[in-house]
Amino acid sequence: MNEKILIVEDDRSIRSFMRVLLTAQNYHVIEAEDGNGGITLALSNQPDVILLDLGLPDNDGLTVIREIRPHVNSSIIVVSARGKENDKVSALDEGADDYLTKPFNAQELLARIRVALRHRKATADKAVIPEESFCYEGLCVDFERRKVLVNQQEVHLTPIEYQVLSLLIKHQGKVLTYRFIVKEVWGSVALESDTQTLRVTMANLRRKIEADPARPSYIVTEIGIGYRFCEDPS
Amino acid sequence: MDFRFTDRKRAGRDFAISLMMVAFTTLVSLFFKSLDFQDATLTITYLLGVMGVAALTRGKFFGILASFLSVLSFNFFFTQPIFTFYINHPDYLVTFIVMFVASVLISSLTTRLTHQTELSNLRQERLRLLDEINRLFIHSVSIQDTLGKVADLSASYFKGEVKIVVLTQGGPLLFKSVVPFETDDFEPTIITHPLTTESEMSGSFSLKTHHPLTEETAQFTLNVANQISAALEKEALLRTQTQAQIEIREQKLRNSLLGAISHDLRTPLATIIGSTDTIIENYDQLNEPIKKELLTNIRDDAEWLIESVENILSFTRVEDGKLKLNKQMESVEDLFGDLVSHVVSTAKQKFVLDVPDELLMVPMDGALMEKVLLNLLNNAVKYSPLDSEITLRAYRKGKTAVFEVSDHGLGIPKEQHEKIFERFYSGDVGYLTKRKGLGLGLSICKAIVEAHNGSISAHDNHPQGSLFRVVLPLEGGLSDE
Repeated sequence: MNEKILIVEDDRSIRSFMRVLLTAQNYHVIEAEDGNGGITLALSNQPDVILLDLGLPDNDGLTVIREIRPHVNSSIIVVSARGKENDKVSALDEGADDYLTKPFNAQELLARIRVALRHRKATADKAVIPEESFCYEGLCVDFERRKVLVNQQEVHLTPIEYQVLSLLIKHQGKVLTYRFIVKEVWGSVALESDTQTLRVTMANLRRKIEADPARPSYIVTEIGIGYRFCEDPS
Repeated sequence: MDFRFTDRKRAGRDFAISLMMVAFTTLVSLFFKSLDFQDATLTITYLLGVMGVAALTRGKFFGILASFLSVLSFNFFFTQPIFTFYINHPDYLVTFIVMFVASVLISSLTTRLTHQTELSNLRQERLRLLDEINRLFIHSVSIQDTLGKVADLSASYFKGEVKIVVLTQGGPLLFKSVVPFETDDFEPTIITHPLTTESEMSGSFSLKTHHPLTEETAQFTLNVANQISAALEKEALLRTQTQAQIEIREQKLRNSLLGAISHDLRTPLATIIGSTDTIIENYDQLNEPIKKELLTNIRDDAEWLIESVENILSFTRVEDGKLKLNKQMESVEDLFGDLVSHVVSTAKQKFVLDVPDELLMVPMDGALMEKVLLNLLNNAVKYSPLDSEITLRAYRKGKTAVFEVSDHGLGIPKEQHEKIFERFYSGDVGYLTKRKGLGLGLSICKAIVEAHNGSISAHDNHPQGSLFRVVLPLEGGLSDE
């Protein structure tokens, strides 16, 4: 079954190359030129992935996300220019799942789409049964016993550190904003001090699981936005 | 002058002078009489006395009083019968009348002369004060300094307390100067005049004095205030003019920037158009490797263009002063981690990262600082041989965080260590680049770092290469979100 991808982008050339690229990967592509068209097509077609440009002429992406998020199950990937971190964070907090920075190359686009599809499929299939364990490149987490092993050595994490790690693993490959992590783990709306606590927690966590905290192989920082757990570039 | 009856002490003194002078002239006349001088001489002696009184006293009154007393004295001491006020000859009456009239006239003339001289001196004094004030403003180095001196001058001239208030952009400035008056017999009077610049009130000049104030003096305080206003107005105009000159220079710079940009951007665009045309025209004839090469060239040129565009955008934002920092407490590891994933993977050189063991959190705009370090790293990559090492180090030093990017490449001559941060300064083509940059990168880095109240500098690395050091303060507020 071909996955459906909706492209909401006003520039014709960009739409063109995306269409060619995605069709070559056997995705089914539908296009909208503006926000309203995007909302209409999203609601009527229920695509698997929506690529939404944040620089649309008639609408800022946030409105589109707000309109469609409650009604569609799609993974929303927002596309925005460099230096517009705040726009991306707002979009992510509003309900977008991931982001791309213009100009992006083909591999990045395809990788993000793959991650988005995987998570969507995962949540659809395994809505009830949680994962029992997870392994990635030397890091193994046993969710049932709450044990974490790095290269077969057990690592002791604090409950907060464990929660942060599990959350990132659960959304492997997807970026999670600082605010989102704080809300999920600490349960409160993000205050200035909370994001700082998160950074400190992350630093401690990295020291425990990464071989070189400055060159992380598991958890990657997207500065100004949040964290992402690495995935196989398959 | 309206001092006459308010100044009682003065009046007392003047009265005493009149009496003493008449007494003195009487004595002299008696002496002359003993020498058998004529009456005419005596009359003239008295007249001289009256002139003296007129010169030494204030107002016409004492001159006239002295005239009257002189006539009486002359009558008593010198007319027959002597030592009485009787006269036995009617001729003497005429003498008395003539003497009285003459002395009154003389007294009046003398008074007027004295008055004029006083006035003239006063005017000179005042002109001198205004001139001094004007000169102070002409040679003014700082308005603060000058106004202080003006207050001092005014206070010592008027003998009282002078307050000058000037409204500036940073708030009102007050200059006060006090010269104590000898006595405070009188109630203090306060006069205030507004200072105006371009018909708008820009401050005030006020004088508080125990010195009795005449209307003329009050008028003069207005003159002083106007003088100060004029000087301030001139200064404001000068400032506007300088501002206008600065803006003209900015405009010129902007135009030259646009010129440079158009020139530099045209070349890669020409290459792109050329390469794509070639592929389109000769699509079937060209073999795969050639097509791949042309397409890769197009991509490289496009990459160069996007970097330049980003740099230009940042540059204009910096120049317009619209660089808004979104400061958060970021951990150095987070910053490095993100950098690493962007640069290290694509570069051929070997990267060494050095971060402190304990967590180092620095208040900064993460995205902008990443731009800075990315720029430095990219430069290191460009100007280092492909098999060399590039080191990225961060450490805490006292109340600052220090970031260092060092390479073993070509290095930068010491004379240029400061110049490279100037706008439009571009170095030679490095190892990897095919094309020189716009020369904006380092000036943008400097602007960003300095907006953080930090500093950036270039040094020599040993045995060869360059070391760029960025120092950021660890204290400093965060921006509100």
